[in-house]
Amino acid sequence: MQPISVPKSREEQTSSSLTWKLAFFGVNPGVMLGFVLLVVALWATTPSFRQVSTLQNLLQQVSLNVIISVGMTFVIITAGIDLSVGSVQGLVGTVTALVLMAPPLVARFGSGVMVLAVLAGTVAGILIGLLNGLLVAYLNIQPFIATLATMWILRGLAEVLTNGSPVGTAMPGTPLASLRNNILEHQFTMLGMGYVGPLPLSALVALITVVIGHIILSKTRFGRQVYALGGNPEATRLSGINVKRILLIVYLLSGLLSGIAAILLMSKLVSGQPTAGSGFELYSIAAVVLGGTSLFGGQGSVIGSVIGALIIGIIGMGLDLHGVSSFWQQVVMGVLILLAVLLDQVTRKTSYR
Amino acid sequence: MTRSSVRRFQAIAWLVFALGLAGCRNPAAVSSRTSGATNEASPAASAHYTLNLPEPPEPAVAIPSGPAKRPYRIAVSLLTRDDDFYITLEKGLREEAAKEGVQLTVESGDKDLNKQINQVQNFVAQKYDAIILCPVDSQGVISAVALANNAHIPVFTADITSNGGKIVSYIASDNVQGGRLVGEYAAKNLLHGKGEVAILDLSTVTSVQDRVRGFKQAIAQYPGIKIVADQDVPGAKRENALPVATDVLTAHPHINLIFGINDPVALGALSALQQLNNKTVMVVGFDAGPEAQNYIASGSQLKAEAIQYPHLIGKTAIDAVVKVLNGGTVPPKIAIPTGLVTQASFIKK
Repeated sequence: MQPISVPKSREEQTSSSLTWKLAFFGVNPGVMLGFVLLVVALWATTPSFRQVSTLQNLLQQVSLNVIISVGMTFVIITAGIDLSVGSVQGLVGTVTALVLMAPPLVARFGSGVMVLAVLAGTVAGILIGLLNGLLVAYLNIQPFIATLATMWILRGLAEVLTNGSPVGTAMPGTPLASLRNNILEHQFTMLGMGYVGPLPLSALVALITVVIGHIILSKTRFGRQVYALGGNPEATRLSGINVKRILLIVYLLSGLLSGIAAILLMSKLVSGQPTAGSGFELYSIAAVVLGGTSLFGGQGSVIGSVIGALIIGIIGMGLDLHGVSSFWQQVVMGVLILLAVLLDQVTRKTSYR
Repeated sequence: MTRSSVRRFQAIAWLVFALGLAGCRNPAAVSSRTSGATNEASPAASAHYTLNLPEPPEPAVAIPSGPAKRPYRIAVSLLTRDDDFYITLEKGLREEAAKEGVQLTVESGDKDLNKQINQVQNFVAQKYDAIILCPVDSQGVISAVALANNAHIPVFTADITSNGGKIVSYIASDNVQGGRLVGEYAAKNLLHGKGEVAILDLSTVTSVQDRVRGFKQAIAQYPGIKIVADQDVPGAKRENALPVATDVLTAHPHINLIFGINDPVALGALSALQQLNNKTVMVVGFDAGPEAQNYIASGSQLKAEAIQYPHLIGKTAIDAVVKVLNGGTVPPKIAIPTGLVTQASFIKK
């Protein structure tokens, strides 16, 4: 539970700003320390963790959560939430796969169909974000309820679109089967599984997303408006800022980024799976919360969420490397989130005194 | 409530709600096996009966379990651990690995394809000698198989296989033989060579096609028995089997026996008979999970079901891996026979 804090006045914000400066991009110092200790401990105890290929795998595996969490950070800073990001994986993934494997398109464009598929997936992500934004900003539906509804709707649409079964390898004998399968299994998989030099391509996409997201949030007028909106929506509105427009853009951004993650996931799964990404919304919320972003809005950072996603990824991998059963991994993850929030509470209480 | 305390409440409610949602999400796994059933792991069907099943027959192609030449490191990614079938399969893997003196790492994909691919990535990075997969999805697992293929790590599949990549051997239940077993018992012991039969099917799934093919092969030996209906049950689910069974019984009032291709379908057919107050039509099925065992043991209209031996699948998988790593060869598909559960399989306490 969060500390009972009165809405922040200007004085209080400056009094607590020292702690936030000391902390790394708003990540709680305790969480940061824990993160460093975790890495050191794994490094020392686990030979396989020291291999380059393990670190490459780690980066590739966390990249999807990082990309989604950048968008989620914006949303949560406005005191909102986006529960639909997991279902986006299902719907955008199947849309991408359907375009990629459409015989007429493959016949017309050959391997160029991959560009169309990425385009279709991206547009689908943007449209979903737009829908969430319209519901929240213009129809005034609470973000939790609006995105809970779209979560079911999108998942359902993905199942309807594919009749519940994955869109994958074409059956032999269907039009252009071997060409389509070659594109799906050998060319398009490069997006989710390929490398640029030593860096996994999906990690590169995540890195670019993080840099752009961080700059927008911390250096632009729009970014400051996002914080303002989360900190005090009433004051923000009264100061003449178009609150609805900001909200719309924030949800659109979340849709776009989860759409991009969905395309990478589809490529990795070599198929459009209508059930793909269920539970991703929770991993993302967990990463954002671990990263020190407040669910009450007005506080947080993109870099914090990256740290959060890395913590989740490293703990999962570390426990796997040590052969801890996935049952216990869930317990560990839950305890970790509680610890992080409790630590945050303690740090903030001390900073008020 | 002040405005800010309302928002605080909302935020807390979100978290609670979101965490609650985590519990009720269950990504559908595409499994060749249509329901979770097992023999060893399931408790006795009821308080009054114990299942006394004969020792599983050895696979048609026996894999001589020569000792491992060195303590190989073998990694496994299961589909899930939420299912008796896989729990028993894992036990078979572990026991045989201990016997062979090989190092075994078992992880669970938890029905999450992305997670399973990540696990295989990590196995490859850790340079295991061989990988055994129970794929979450035959299509989606292709990229993981390709990773291992590129690293020249042999990949084996158990229960379900991959649609692509190089698989050294696929170890799974012999569904054709299982279907034949059920068909023979039905034709000979239940119908005594004559009558009308209906099949409640799921004709899009390969393993079910095998079951039905075996069943039909057995029935074909008896000219007095006619298959009058072969109807698909959407998703092979219990709630869908009930109306389909009712319709089939209405359309063909002289049916004597129904074959349900898995537990939910057979039990759905049984419910349909109860609703129609039909006391004569018999049901046979496949999987023999605890609930079905209970019905068979108590002498209901559910008479017999084929049962798989997941323990033997696990054991054989390890034997096959060791044989290949020792430099031997194994067939690309190893079929594990199934057994038959009838009322006679139970001992009254």
